[in-house]
Amino acid sequence: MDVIAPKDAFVTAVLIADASHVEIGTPVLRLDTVDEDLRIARITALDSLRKILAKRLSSEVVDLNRQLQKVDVDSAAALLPVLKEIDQGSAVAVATGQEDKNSDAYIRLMNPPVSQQIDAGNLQLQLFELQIVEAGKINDLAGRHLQQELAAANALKIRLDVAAPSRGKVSLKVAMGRFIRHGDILFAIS
Amino acid sequence: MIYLSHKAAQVTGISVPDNSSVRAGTSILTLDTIDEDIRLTRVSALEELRIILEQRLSDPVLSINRRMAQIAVDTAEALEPIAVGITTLNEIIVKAGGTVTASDAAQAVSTGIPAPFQATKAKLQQRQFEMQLAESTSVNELIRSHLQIEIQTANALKARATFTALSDGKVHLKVVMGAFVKKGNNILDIPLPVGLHLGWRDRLASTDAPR
Repeated sequence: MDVIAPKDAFVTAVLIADASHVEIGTPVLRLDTVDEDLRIARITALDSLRKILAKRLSSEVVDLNRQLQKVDVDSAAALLPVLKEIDQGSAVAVATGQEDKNSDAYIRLMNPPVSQQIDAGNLQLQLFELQIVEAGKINDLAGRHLQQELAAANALKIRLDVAAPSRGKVSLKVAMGRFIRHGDILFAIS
Repeated sequence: MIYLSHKAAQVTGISVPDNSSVRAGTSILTLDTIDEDIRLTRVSALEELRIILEQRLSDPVLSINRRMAQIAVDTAEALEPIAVGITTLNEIIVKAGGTVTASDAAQAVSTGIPAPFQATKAKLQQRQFEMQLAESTSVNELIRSHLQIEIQTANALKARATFTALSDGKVHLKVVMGAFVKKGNNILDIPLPVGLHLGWRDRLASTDAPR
């Protein structure tokens, strides 16, 4: 039975002597894992980054950001009825000739922006809540997918520990340090 | 032992003549390292960029940002009683029979009513800054440690381009300096002495036990 190289690689370890007898599963060769190790390191780093950013979804941070979104709305909501009250009073004063007709100019200037500030603030709050839900889903997706990536990378790495698939006498076709090509015969068991 | 080229490359250096005898570890030939060098350059540039940006996380930048956040809090807190005071003053003037126009009143309440909210906002932003700082510190540390792995890997790949003899023997060169080799080409050959495999097993057993 011939065992062939699963990829282009260097033989980094020969774990048995040529012509020795092996059982099923006996480790025979090890191929280099530079690419696989780097792949695992990158996936692990991405998952660490995901965990750091996931803290933005913690109740402490979400509450803080929600309060920040809300504070402007609350401020405008507190101001608006007072402005309206002054506006009404001013209209009466102007109508009765107690005030100049331009004395309410500032009110006319302030009312629409404050009212719109409340509407815009409420919309931003709604958007914030939707963004939190979206970010939560993306975080879950990234977490699940990175686990799959990590499992696949580990599986590819394990392939590089080449073990005997059957009992018998090993005939080594390679030596330690040799670069082999995908498909080369690594060793034969007879 | 046959050595195959691990990449398509040019032979940039031959350190031993053909048919010469070598000892294990003797440097024999070198392949070009253009790809490996640019990879190292890129990773190094990223590390330099990280070090530049890291300065945002320490003094004097950190102190300046903290002071700015504190000034915003202090200003809002200082403004709050004054703004409320103006509104109160207007009320006192009206009660005393004086005249306050609608615009006077509106300007006063437009400052007075939002003032406590602005103070709250400044404090929240101050907390937010500290949280962002903690996040940036964690991300910086993660990038720092990962770039070290990238640099080590790039160096390991570069080191592969220099071939050394793995065993004692006579070298049979299959290439000449400047020749372009393809991945998998036979670039040199050192015939193995009989029984060398057994020696490897003995050597490996002490340092690298089979898993």
